[in-house]
Amino acid sequence: MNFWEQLIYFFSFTDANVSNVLIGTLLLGIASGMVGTLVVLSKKTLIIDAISHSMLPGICIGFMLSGVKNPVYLMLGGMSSATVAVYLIAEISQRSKIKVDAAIAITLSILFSFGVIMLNVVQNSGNPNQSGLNDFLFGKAASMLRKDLYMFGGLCLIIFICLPVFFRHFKISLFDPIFAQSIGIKKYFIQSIISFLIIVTAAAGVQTVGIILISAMIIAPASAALFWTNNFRLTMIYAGIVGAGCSIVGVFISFLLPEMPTGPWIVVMLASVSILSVLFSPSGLLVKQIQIRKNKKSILRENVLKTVYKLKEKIKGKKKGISTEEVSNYRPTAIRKVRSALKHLKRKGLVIKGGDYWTLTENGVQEAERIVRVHRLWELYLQKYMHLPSNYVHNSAESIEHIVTPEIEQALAEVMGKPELDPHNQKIPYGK
Amino acid sequence: MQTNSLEVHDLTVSYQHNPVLWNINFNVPAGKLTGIIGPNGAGKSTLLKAIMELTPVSGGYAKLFGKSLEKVRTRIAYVPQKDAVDWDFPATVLDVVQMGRYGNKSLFRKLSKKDEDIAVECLSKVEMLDYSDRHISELSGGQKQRVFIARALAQEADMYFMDEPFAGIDAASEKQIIDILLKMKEEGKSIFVVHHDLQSAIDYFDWIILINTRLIASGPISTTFTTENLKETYGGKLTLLSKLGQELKSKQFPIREEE
Repeated sequence: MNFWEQLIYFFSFTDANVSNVLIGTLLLGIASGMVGTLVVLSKKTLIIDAISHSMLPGICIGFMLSGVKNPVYLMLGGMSSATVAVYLIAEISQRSKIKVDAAIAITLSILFSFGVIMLNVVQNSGNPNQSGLNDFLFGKAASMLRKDLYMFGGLCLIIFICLPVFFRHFKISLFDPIFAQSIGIKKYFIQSIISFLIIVTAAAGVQTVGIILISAMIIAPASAALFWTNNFRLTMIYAGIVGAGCSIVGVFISFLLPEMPTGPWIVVMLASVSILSVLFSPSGLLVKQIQIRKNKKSILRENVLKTVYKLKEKIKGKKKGISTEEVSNYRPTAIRKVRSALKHLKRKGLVIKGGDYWTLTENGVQEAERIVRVHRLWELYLQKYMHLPSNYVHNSAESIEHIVTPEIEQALAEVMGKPELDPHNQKIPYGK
Repeated sequence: MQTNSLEVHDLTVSYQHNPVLWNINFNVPAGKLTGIIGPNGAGKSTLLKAIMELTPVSGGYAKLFGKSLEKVRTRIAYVPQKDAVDWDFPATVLDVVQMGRYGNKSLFRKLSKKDEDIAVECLSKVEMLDYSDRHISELSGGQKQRVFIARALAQEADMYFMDEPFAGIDAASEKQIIDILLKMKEEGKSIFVVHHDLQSAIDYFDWIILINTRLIASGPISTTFTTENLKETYGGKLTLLSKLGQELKSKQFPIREEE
């Protein structure tokens, strides 16, 4: 089969095994993304690791007591020991000097060690059913059977019912817990529901992605989604979509290459989406960098324009115009940069080139005068209202002149009137 | 007989056996704009939290309109300090104000058109309507406070508790907020404001509660805002009280015997 045939086969649901895995991970992706939104916004992401790791001893006890690898017993065991962990963390941090992060670390490592010891005991017990129990560490999506899927669907159903029912409770409590309490929302009730939902998600996820990686499945989608919207509901929906999308890709990769593990691939996809969000979202780093570069360029252009204007003021028509070198020397700037700035100004119709000399067009004069005017008015303003001596005002004005909007300029002109001279006795240009 | 909006009886609060409020008793008539005044660490915010049952009390109780909080909750609005919340939370200004509407209706149901109209109206009362679609992280300190006040207005309560609404905001916003509070008072609302600026207190409030761990005085501003009372309020904690407090903390004694 080539790639496309495999793609069609994969999504056609003709293969029962494939469709079991696909439906399972799809549900898990949506559920973990949505529950993750609650966890990330309540700033308690560390608790997920504690919950998932402390499921191991419970899973082992569930197996020891039942003697079979029935997912219902295993998950009931895992969820019980996770509940114990949540309770322990709360008690330790409230009743002793130990802070929450330390309480989480202590609980997590102790219960996980117990789990690993029990796993060893079980593996050496001679019970033939035990094989595959250690798959819970890293997860094994491919092993998902129809009966696993029923339990899985049940767990996801709990999540999909709780989220809309308590949606407003969550929104208000996560934003402003004190206000939430003041209108009668019970703090411990909401906290318990959130903990319960994390436990359910973790229980659903251990078989697919495993104890070690489930926290990434819960945290990553919401973290990525937060970059794209300012709306709580949409954050949750986006997180669900990201979780589902990455899960499908992860499953598909391990379908194409059966030796590839599903869980880690899902997490790698999630990490990629998160990194892309950090870089490329509207509030991301790249957009900011582009803005900074743009600003730098526009500052350079305005400075070049101003320099041409000032040099022209000095020579008072003795020469035909100003050369590129003169601009670059007057205000030490690389000649390459000056040249590209002048070219851009020419395209905007602010300067024209005659031979080797640059002169300002009428629009260019107007624009240059505006910059010089803002600069000198601002110097006066600083002197008058901030009582700065005149030798301190230039540097501030040098940067302010580039960011003053027409509205601020008008306000500045209203405050200052129409003074003739700036603090350095230079004329303030007002145009015609 | 004049009705009381708030009665506090023998209220005592301690954090980890360290007493923060000792035996607070006072009554405030309805329809007053009351300032709760005292130095840093005097327990002003704790007093509000204890009345709102947001913090456990060691003894005593408060009555609001003569009843327990649970019975009159929908008539009470509480405005936390603006630093107490996460301003990066994904919500717009309008979202926050709409939360106020859930004060007196079921959280399991959607807001009605009328609720939405009330939220918009409250936003325009604090002159923040132009910002309704802004993300809350883009607001200045004064604007954040006004959004909080709009949320409280949306609760359409009869009694308001505000924790330091004038902290860290510009003079223009302060003026705006005090105008809103005065208008609310005219409508007969009872308002309690934690405040620490003595200078402006005399202009803003008509009733004053002076506390510093214990109650110093409570009464109309004309008779209560005296040099003598202020001296006592800001003259530091009573040494004997704080010594006893340290003793309680270090030996883990309860401040009230359990019944």
